Amino acid sequence: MKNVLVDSNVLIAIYDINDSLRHRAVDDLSRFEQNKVNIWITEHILSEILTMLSNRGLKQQIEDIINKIENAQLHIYYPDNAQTAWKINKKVAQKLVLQQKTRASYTDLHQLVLVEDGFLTDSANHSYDHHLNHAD
Amino acid sequence: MHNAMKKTQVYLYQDQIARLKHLAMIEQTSYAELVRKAVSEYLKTNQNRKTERLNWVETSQKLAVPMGGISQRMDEELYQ
Repeated sequence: MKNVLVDSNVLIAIYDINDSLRHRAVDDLSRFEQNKVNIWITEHILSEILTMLSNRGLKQQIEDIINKIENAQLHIYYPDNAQTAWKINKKVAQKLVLQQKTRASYTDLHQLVLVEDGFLTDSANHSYDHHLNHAD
Repeated sequence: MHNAMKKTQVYLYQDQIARLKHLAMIEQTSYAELVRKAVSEYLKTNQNRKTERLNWVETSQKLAVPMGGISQRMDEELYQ
């Protein structure tokens, strides 16, 4: 596996001293980096992270996320073109309609589609959210 | 020392093109050479721009603050 798509909960956990998953998140991200696995997020994930941090006025943490993107510690997935973007959006919308037991968010299902349908090649999802493990 | 050159296309504003062509004529050089010089100067100016690179351990040590253990409750806060 060359690429890992990490969920917002993994990245938020590293900034939260109270979070029981903080150490696990640090270990997981460090391991990816040591093993030269590229760490990816989507714009939706970035939006969630920045919303959570800005709601709490955490400017340094926001700057750190920006630095990590500019330093290529974090990569943002962008589709190659508008047609691919629409193909992804349509698949996510179909999953939203079809899901039965779970109530996964658009962001969660978008991650699933990118990995399962190979839009992000040679990749896996990494999340602490049950939706990404048990989505219908 | 530069690598081999590779062709690229960028859009410039009309006034930028006109001014570059005028400068190229005055300096007896090519329009392309002036664009390369401008890019080199920009890169030189910005090469030391500070972007602190913290690894994940340092990030958590330096920047973790009390947020109440929210990683498992993000969807509730964001979408409900």
